[in-house]
Amino acid sequence: MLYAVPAGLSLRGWNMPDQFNVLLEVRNVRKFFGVRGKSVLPTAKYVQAVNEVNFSVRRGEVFSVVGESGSGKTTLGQMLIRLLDPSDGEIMFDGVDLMTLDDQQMRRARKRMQIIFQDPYSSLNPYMTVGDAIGEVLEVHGITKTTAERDQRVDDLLETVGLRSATSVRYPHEFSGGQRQRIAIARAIAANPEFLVADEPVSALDVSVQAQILNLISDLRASMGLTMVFISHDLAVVRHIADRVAVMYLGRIMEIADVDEFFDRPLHPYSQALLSAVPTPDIRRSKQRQVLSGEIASPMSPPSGCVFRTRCPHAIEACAGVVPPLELKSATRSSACIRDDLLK
Amino acid sequence: MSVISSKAVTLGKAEPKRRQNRLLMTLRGVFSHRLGMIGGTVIVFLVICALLASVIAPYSPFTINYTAILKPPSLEYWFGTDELGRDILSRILYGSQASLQVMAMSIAGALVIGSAVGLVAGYLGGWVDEVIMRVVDGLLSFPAIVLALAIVAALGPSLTNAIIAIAVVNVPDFARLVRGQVVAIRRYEYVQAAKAIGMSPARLMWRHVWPSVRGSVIIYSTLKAAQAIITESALSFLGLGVQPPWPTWGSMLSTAMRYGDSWWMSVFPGLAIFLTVLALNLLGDALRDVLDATTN
Amino acid sequence: MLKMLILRIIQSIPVLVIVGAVVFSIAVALPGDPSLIILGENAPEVERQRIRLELGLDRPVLVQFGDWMFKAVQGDIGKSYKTGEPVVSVLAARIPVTLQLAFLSMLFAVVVGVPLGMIAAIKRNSWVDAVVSVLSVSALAMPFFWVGILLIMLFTLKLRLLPPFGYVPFSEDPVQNLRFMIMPVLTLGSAYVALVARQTRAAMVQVLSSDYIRTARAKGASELRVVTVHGFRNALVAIVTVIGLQFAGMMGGAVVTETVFQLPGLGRMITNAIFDRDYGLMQGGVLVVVLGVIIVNLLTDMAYWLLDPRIQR
Ligand SMILES: Nc1ncnc2c1ncn2[C@@H]1O[C@H](COP(=O)(O)OP(=O)(O)OP(=O)(O)O)[C@@H](O)[C@H]1O
Ligand SMILES: [Mg+2]
Repeated sequence: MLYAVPAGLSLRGWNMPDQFNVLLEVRNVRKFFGVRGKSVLPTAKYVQAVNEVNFSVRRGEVFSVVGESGSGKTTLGQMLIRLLDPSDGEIMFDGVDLMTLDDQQMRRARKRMQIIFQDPYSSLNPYMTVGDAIGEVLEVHGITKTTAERDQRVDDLLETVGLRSATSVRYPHEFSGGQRQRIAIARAIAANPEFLVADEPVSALDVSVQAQILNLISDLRASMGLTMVFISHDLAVVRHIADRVAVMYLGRIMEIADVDEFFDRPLHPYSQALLSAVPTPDIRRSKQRQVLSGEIASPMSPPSGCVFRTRCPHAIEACAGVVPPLELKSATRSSACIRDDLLK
Repeated sequence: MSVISSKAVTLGKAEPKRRQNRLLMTLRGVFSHRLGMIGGTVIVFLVICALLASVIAPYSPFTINYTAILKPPSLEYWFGTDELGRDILSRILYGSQASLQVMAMSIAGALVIGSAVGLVAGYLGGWVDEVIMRVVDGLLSFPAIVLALAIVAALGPSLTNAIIAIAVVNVPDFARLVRGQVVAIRRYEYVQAAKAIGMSPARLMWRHVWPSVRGSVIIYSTLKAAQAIITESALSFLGLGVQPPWPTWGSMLSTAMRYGDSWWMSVFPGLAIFLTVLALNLLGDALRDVLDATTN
Repeated sequence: MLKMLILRIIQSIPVLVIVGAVVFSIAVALPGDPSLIILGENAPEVERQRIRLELGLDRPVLVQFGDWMFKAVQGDIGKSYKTGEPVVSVLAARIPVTLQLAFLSMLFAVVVGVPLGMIAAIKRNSWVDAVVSVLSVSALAMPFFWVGILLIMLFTLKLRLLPPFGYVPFSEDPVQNLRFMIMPVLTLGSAYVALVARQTRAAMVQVLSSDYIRTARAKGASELRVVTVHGFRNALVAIVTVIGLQFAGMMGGAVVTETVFQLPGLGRMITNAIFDRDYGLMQGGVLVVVLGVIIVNLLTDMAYWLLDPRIQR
């Protein structure tokens, strides 16, 4: 095993979406970006970055979003904590639609939700010391009153993420990528959030330090009881950290399943393609390996019907008709495919 | 099985470094930049001259002396005298007060207002940005001197109004510069991170956006200050700047036009403008070199 | 191309409205009662009231603005307060002078600046380059009116070669017209020589260090040939850049230059109008200058679009 998964808070096997156990519910969310064309009219085209996305995240679980580059993972992740406003739909956080909050309420709510960005080089302000970057969170939410208190708490946080407290007077450029990501994590947990979006937190790092950072995140989520949305395109990472997995393609969710189920028996043709692209030592599976043909379609003009049909080996004419809805296929998984009966 | 403890990682270097002072770094850079050093020295010299004009100036800039009219440069009058027998050197020294004052205050005003406008436009985006930038485009279509003339004509010629006019003329330039930079910086994740923290927009702009913009604003101010000197002297030259009997470099030149044979009347005030503008331009270029080097 | 042009024109409309608003509000903010300016200090109240009504000054400011814009779009920008002449006909007489000045200055800047920039680029980091760079830094630090005064001192008072002030239309006496124009053109052109030389040098250095130039050079082509043939397009882009970015500045320079040399152009008309408190005339003058700037910006964009292969069609 590559990554240590903490025991204790894992909620695998929970299947009923219990109303009281849902921290985050995403309902029919879309995000379209206007694209400035060269035409006379101001906005002619849209990028459909995220389209009709529905899912819910239970308290304490790690919900992982996987997909190729450009599938809308970052856009979705940012909407979850309202760094981006959805074009349509609702983001219910602990029973409240974030879009109904005014600026001040939203700012207060941010204490409960945080994000770790993909690139630790651009996520830290180069003009600010590490101590200030972390301490700022404490100041903004009035968590510490005095400077001494603040500095003490910053030092504690740095230690929690495995850095020396002397780090606080330095500037980000003096650190390696892994250390920077630790700093970013310290900042994210400073206000003691309940919910954390981790947007490919290790993909910009050297392979040698990826494991350390993942372990840190796992440890923290166990000790703090965090609920997490973990975005990644690395299935090996997902397998070890996630409780449930959602697969995205061209802005839409193709499949949601418990992690073991997903890796054992992917249901959606796209999930199967993704998994078979991962080299495995498993001889049984390697012979079924299929390679995705063709290019990912443009999010500006996605195919009609099922967006995956242009690359799907099982596509039939009917796939071009309607967009297949994400349907519950069993107690623990949903899939958006009209042909998955055939694939079981 | 390789479970790596996350607590074991520490930094290589043990000594905590003290905060590096960026200002100091920049200053050190300028000192080692030859042309920038020359420019800086001239500016410092000019500021001292302006502050100490009443001490240094050999004569009063106002006293009319009919016995010493249009005297060429001599040991007695280094830069000669004008048509009323006033000492040109003294008048240039006193004239630097008006020029530097108008320059400093108008650029400071334009910097503050223009940067604020640019920050707001760039950060908020959307229709606010659209409206502000159209107004900026509109104002930028006016030649600086024409807009300044019109404003001074409306307000009446005086030191204060020259400052206001030149400030207004420069606001759109700063707004455009800052807005462009903010739009570029807004994409950086640290700005997103600051927003995610729950910071108020005002604090976010001040702590996270402004520091990255500051450098280019300072370079730009130096270059704009050079232009402000020219605009101020042009206003005075056209009779719409600081009013007589206060000497200004521009008004001295406009009088000199009527006394073309007394070359010293036009050469020295012109040189004063020339050197000031040159020094500011050199300093601005040096700052650009230095800041480019320190940010890379 | 046409689409681009139309798009740019549409984009200019809000800018034009704002320009109109600024010009109009300046006139509103100007001190002094227009009726007194038109009729003189001791005009009877009845007459003044009539003028106010005629000018529509009794209406709300916004209505006045709307009316003014509406008329301006149709080409009616009012009358001179002083002479009662329509502003348009006064402008018609002034515009050619400023245009000639601007055109000749730019021509001078190109004819002198491009070769200087090219030489500096070929001999970069030599003393020639240094001299060109010192000259351009200096030229950019000299206010136009000082250059003008120095030129008058040199050419008129010292060498007695040129007439100091005055103007004859080109159509009446081309030779005399050009003699009057030499000093203003040198004055206004000096800064643009520097700018053109700078831009040309930068463009040329880029060309010289690019791969295809190295290839051409390897084939034995002379440096000068390489620069002139391959650099031509880049030089053009450099010149267009200067014209586009600096046209507003050049119009400002024209105001000062025309005042120094007493050329009857737009610039001097504007300054005179300010002193005469002839705000009708001033408004028209400023409006035309700014309109010119906007049109030139539009044309530069078009020129860029034609010249720069990197900009997509
Ligand atoms: N601000 C924006 N304006 C226009 N289009 C955007 C914007 N942000 C994202 N997009 C587009 O939306 C789509 C989804 O982008 P997103 O960054 O969410 O994908 P992703 O799955 O995170 O990809 P990656 O793995 O590369 O990070 C892409 O086609 C992208 O080009
Ligand atoms: Mg992403």
